[in-house]
Amino acid sequence: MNKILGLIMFLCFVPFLIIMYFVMYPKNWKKKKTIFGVRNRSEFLDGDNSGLVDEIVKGNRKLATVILISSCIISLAFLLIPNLSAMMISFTVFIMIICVVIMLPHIKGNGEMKSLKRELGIVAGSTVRTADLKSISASHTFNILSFIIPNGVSMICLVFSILYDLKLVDVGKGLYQGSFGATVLSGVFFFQGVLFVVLAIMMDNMRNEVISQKSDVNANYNRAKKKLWSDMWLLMTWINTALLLFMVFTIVLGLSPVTVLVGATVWLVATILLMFMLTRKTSLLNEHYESEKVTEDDDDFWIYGVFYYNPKDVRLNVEKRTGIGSTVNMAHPVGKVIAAFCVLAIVFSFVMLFYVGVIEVTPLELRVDNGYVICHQLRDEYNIALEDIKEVTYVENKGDFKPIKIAGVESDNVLKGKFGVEGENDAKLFMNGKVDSYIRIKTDKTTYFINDKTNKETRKTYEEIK
Amino acid sequence: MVIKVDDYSDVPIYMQIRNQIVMGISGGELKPGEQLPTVRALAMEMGINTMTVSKTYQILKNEGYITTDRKNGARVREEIKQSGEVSEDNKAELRRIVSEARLSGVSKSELKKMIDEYY
Repeated sequence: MNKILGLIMFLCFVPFLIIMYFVMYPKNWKKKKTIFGVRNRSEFLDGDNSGLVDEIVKGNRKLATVILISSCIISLAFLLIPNLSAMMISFTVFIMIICVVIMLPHIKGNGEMKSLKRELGIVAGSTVRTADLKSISASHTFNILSFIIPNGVSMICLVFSILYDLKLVDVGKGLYQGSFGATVLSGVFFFQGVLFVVLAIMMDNMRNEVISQKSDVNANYNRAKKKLWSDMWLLMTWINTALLLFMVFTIVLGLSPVTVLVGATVWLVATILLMFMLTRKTSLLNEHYESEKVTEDDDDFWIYGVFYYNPKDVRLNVEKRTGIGSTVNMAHPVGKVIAAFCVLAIVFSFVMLFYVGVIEVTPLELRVDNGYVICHQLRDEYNIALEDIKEVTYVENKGDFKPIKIAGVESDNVLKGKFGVEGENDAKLFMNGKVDSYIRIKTDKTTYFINDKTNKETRKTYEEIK
Repeated sequence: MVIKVDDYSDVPIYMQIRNQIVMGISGGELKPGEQLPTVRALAMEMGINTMTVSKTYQILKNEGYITTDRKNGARVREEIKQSGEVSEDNKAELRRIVSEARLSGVSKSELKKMIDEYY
């Protein structure tokens, strides 16, 4: 199972990195709108200058290729880590680091292109902004009606899940019923569907590019680009809804977690394919509509060619310089909030990864104190009053004990939280995964399955409880 | 019709847009009755404040080049009132241009040729 999960992560990471590589480091820069986040302009195509740009592009592309290949090879090594949590945590941290590292040649290239511009006497400061009066209102493609069906299905799933968890409908095995797992899942997916609609509207209202003096060309180009994005968000919403339906069925029918894993993998593959398709189509579109002449020079507002900071621009949403999609103007008040939120989210992810790591390596301990059985790991998780205990048994060997996680932590070392256990209505686990023996404590409402760091200590605690 | 706005120009942005729309109407790029973008859409497109575009439209309306109403938005006026006269402001501007051209050594015939071209 560990190997399969690792392999799934690897198979998702590699195509993602390859897409990122081809988007950021295209071979034929002459056909692209930007070079390392600097607008491509006719001056760059002139004889000698073309050679200089070629040198910059080739040098940084080579560096990025080395990073790409070594990242793929190194990531294979993570599959050899036997502990699942350790593998997941280290792989996730590695992915985060590589996402930054693969950008370093781009950042370097951006600096070199800006220097080249200065050397060629292309002075930044010509802050001319252009707009095509005729294509502004002629290039909207977003149609809210097409999003109603997939989001409607998601909403029905959400309503059903709430009723299911409240035990107002009685279908399936009911293994996870009452855990609100289905409700949370449906809620997240429904929210995601709504978010896709918002993003589709934002992309549809994004600034139109002026690539020609002819209004028809501008209108066609912008319409085609926005149609591509609108279709992409719609497809994404459908894929999301399909996965939600699958997940809800899986939960209701009480199927094994492997089924969930298969569904999630299919979803990931579909998403990657969609990303690949979008990248390819965007590239073809840009090649088809070659930009005539650059009149704007806002390169200096693009920090490293990636982050947009322009206090003079009142727009929040702007098209990305590198990659596909849009980004925010960080000088905009809302942009500042979004940027701060992103930084917090990244910091939070690292904190959470660290926390998961600590949970994985900290053994679970039991003690009997002041009339309570206390289950402790980092903090007191469960306090079971001795007087509430109706029945206590000691089991020497876990054997065929196969709990199914409903909510909590399940790893090689730790099983903690609410689990589905055959024959029990409400089961809570607090177990060191590698310790064979455990104590089963039955109270009025809940049955606890607990153990200590070793078999010997578990036995000792059992004697104390008894 | 492509319009350009320069943040560092001495001419205010609302006037830059106004001038280019007037040139567009005069040159036939904007036809009589043609719909203009909404204030919000044009402001978003140019990355400028909506008040700036609103001011431009107000001036164009006062000058009789466009009509605006809540239902149809802004449109190029079907029949622009022709006074047959050059305004005092434009006369002063023309005098300045002619003076600068003379000082730059541009001949009268060359200047006339340019007027013919732009007219």
